[in-house]
Amino acid sequence: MSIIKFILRRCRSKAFECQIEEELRFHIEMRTRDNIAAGMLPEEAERDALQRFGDFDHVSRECREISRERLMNAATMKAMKGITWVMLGCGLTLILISDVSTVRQVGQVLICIAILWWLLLYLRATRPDQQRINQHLEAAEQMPLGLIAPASGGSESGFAEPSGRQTAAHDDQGRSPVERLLAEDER
Amino acid sequence: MAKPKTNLLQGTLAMMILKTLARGELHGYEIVQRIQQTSEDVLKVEEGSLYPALYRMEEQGWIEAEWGASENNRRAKYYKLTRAGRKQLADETANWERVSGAIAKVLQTA
Repeated sequence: MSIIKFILRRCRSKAFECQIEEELRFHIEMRTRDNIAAGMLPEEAERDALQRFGDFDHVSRECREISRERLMNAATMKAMKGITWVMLGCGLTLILISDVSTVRQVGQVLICIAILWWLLLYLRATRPDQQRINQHLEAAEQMPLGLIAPASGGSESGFAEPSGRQTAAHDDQGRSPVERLLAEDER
Repeated sequence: MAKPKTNLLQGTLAMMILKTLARGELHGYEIVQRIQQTSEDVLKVEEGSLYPALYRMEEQGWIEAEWGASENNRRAKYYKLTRAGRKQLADETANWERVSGAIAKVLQTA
C-alpha cells in the first residue's frame, strides 16, 4: 500500500515539475515570438528572451520547492479532515447502535470533538496563522524585488528620488507609474 | 555608464500583480506585458522572479491558477484573483497610499 502511495506521490510530483517547466518555457517562447515580431533575428530573439528571464534552473527550482510545500500542506489538511469524518462517523454509530448510556455518551463526546476540530480547521483555512505570515514575509525579504524602474537621477538609495515628481516616470498629472496602475482600474 | 535603476519597496511586485489580475485572468507573460504597458515601459518586471512570486501568492490563497488555451492555441496557465486576494489588494493599496503619502510629506517639508 505504501509503495503504491509512494509511486502516486512521485508521479504527481513529477507532473507538477513538468507543468512548472512548461509554464516557464511558454513565457520564454512568447517573449522570443514578440522579439521576432519586433524585427530581431530568431537567435538574437531567443538570446534576449533567456537573458530577460534570468536563471531558468534557479527559478524552476524555487517554483518546485514552493509547489512541494503547498502539496504537503494540502495533504496535511486532507488528513486532518479525514480524522474529523472518522470521529463523526464513530460517534454517530455509537449513538445509533448502542443502548448503553455510557457508550452513547462517548459517541456524543466524539461528535462534539469532531465539530470543534472542524471549526478549528475552518479557522486555520480562512485565517492563516502568524507563523505562516512571518514565513511569507521572510521569503519575500529574500526574494529579488522583481521590479525595476529606470531613474533619471541615478540614486542608489533604494527609494524613489526626491526629484521623483519631475522624472519621466510621472505623467502630466504628476502621477507615478504605480499610481497610474492603481488608478487604471477605477477609470 | 550603467543604466541607473530605482529599487521599489518590497511587496510592490505582489501589489502590482494583484492589481493587474483584478481586471481579469491572465498568464504570466501577459502579467509582465500588462504592467509594462500600463506603466508606459517605465516599470519592467524581472521576468524570472515573477513566477516564484506567483507561486507564493497562490500558496497564500491570494490567486488561483487554471490551465487554458492561449491566444495562439498553446496551453498556458492562467491566474485569477481570489476573494482573499481582493482583500489583500485592498490592504496593500491602503498601506501603499499611507507610506507614499508619508514620504511625500517628508519630501515637501525637507
